[in-house]
Amino acid sequence: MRIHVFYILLFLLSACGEDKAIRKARVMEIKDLGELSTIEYTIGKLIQMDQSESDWYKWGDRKLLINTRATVKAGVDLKKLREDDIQIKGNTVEITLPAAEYTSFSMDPNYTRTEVESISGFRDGFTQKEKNNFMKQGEEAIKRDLVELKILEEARINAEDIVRDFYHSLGFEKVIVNSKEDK
Amino acid sequence: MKINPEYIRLLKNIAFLIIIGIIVSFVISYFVGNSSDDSDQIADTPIRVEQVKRIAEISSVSYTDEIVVDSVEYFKELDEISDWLDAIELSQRVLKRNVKRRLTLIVKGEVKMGFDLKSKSLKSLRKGDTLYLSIPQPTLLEINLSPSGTEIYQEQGNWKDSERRKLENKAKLILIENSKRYGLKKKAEDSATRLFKRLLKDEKYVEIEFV
Repeated sequence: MRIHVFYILLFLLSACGEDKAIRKARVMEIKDLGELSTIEYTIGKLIQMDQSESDWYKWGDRKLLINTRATVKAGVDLKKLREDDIQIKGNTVEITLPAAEYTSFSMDPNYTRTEVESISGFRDGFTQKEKNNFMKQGEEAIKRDLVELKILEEARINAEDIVRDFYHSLGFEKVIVNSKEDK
Repeated sequence: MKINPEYIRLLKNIAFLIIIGIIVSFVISYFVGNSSDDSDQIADTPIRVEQVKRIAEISSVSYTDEIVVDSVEYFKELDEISDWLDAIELSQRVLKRNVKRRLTLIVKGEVKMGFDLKSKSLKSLRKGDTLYLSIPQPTLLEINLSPSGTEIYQEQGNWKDSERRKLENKAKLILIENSKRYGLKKKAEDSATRLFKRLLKDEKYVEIEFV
């Protein structure tokens, strides 16, 4: 009987732990690019979570404030240039650049700081999993709000200047740069 | 075979205690502790532009990978059980796993290599039919990580932000090491050569060198 009780307890205890085998990495890709990035925006955002209202029936509050920073680059993808997008005649070159697009987005963990983490009553602290979930939401919100900043327009104008300078430096006297509409 | 009524009574008592335990744990988990799940939404706060910089970077190759980084802390074998009420510690000790804390991240990152034309510009020289183009050596332009590419695969025990950051930086270093191992610099040069020849498609001879 004692042995049975021991095994029941052992089973219950083993159910408390959470051990997963580490899975192998899934993705590895090396890709040729032709991105000309012409503008870089550094964007900050406060990630705010207050569970005092949503969890009113719980004893205590949980509040979190994370300050995060994202770096966004935009420019044109020169790999999208088609054969007839570049016309060279003597000392004149006419090029039609593809539409400007975002070339990279990064949220460096070194620029992420938890400013406030307030726990009261019988509540637990925030886990890293929860914080990452809130950061993901912050990332989505930043991407959503980028549209208002007109980054692509600036990227296109800068790209035209850079391409013009490039051809001038190669000795072309007349350089005509056109752009397709921004995405 | 006759079962001793005392044993039956004991089994009934144990079953009763287990049921009571389950009910109490449900009540406690409802009123106390965490409740975060994917439905918890962050407040709608505005973004702020901190810096705008005009750049001129040509990324000619990218390397994307998923890196698994893990940090484990074990109980010292000779240590006594520090908290008899900690079910995880008890289970770890009984099952002889001895894992005190564990954090495993799967970090998806991207390394881009190419040319920063702001720091070193292109140089060209025309000699007869041939256009000589001197391009600066490819450099590591960026390592992109983001929360959407980071998965907290396993979290046991309490972990500080700085400890998690350390793991993410470790993943970054692995990405850099791998990019060297896969010869990304050479691939960046080859890709850039193809790109510039395309931009100068009507030039008879184009010679490109990386200086």
